[in-house]
Amino acid sequence: MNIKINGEVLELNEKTNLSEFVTHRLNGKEPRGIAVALNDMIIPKSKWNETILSENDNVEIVHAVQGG
Amino acid sequence: MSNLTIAGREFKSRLIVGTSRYPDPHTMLQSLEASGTDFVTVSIRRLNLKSADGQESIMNMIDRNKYWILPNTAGCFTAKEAVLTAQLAREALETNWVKLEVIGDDETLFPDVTELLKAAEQLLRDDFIVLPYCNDDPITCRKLADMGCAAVMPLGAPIGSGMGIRNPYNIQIIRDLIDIPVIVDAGVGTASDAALAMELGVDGILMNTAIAGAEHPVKMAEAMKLAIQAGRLAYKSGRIPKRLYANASSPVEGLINS
Repeated sequence: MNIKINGEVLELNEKTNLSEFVTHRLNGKEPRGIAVALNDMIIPKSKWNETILSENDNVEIVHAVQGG
Repeated sequence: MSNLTIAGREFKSRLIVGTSRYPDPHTMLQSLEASGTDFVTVSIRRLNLKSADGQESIMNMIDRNKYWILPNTAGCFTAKEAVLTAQLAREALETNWVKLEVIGDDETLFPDVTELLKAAEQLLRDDFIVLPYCNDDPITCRKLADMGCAAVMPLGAPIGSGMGIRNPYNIQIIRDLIDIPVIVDAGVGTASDAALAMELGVDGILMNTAIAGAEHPVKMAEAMKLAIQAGRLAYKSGRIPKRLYANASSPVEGLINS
């Protein structure tokens, strides 16, 4: 199954929920100060566990950076 | 001197400072300190998932007990993008404040007014505290104020241009028309620009490049702090009217040859 993550396509072999997916992408880093959108909808952290990814989903993981 | 109050929150400084483009994080932190600000802007960007040493979150550097955070929607060209970015910022930073930027053009970075109004309306309905970056157009500012924005932030000149206040008369009209705080956002190049804006009666100034891009950012931050204080004090003091001809300041009575 293909998932788009921050603009790049990634192939996933098994069914996964958003929580597992984000944790894996963060490489063990604490998911603090980040936000996740799935197909242009914000998914609050409390909903990550129950959100199962499907084919062609578009995931954005963002955080705050320097800005004016 | 009275403090700047936006959406019921009181700030000790009338200067809002951007956190971008400093030579290094240490200079940024020192500049924020020297500016006296307690209100800073940040951006929302994709997390770099490829390398461990990707762009560090600004929130690891900024003490939130010291600075109120204003996330922006810089880089957004449509209402849809801006609304999504504001919602992401709210989730990531746990704040419903947003500096709403909807850009119409890459070269001028002028706001796209129709998209800006649309985004502001949607965000206000979604309980955001909206501080829109807008043109120095009194009618747009009035519409944003009537809608329920917490402040209006007309530009002095294009972002990063350092051209100063290109249309002081419009800024003055905006000040007269609008009851909510007016913050000049963008265009300030040096201290006199900041003082001039404040003398026009605006409530505060948001700047980034003028400080971060200066040869000595920390010193410039202090210069801006002083200019804003001086400009505000002058505005409150009521300047003398301009006149074309002289008006002697020494007494004209009792001159020795009279």
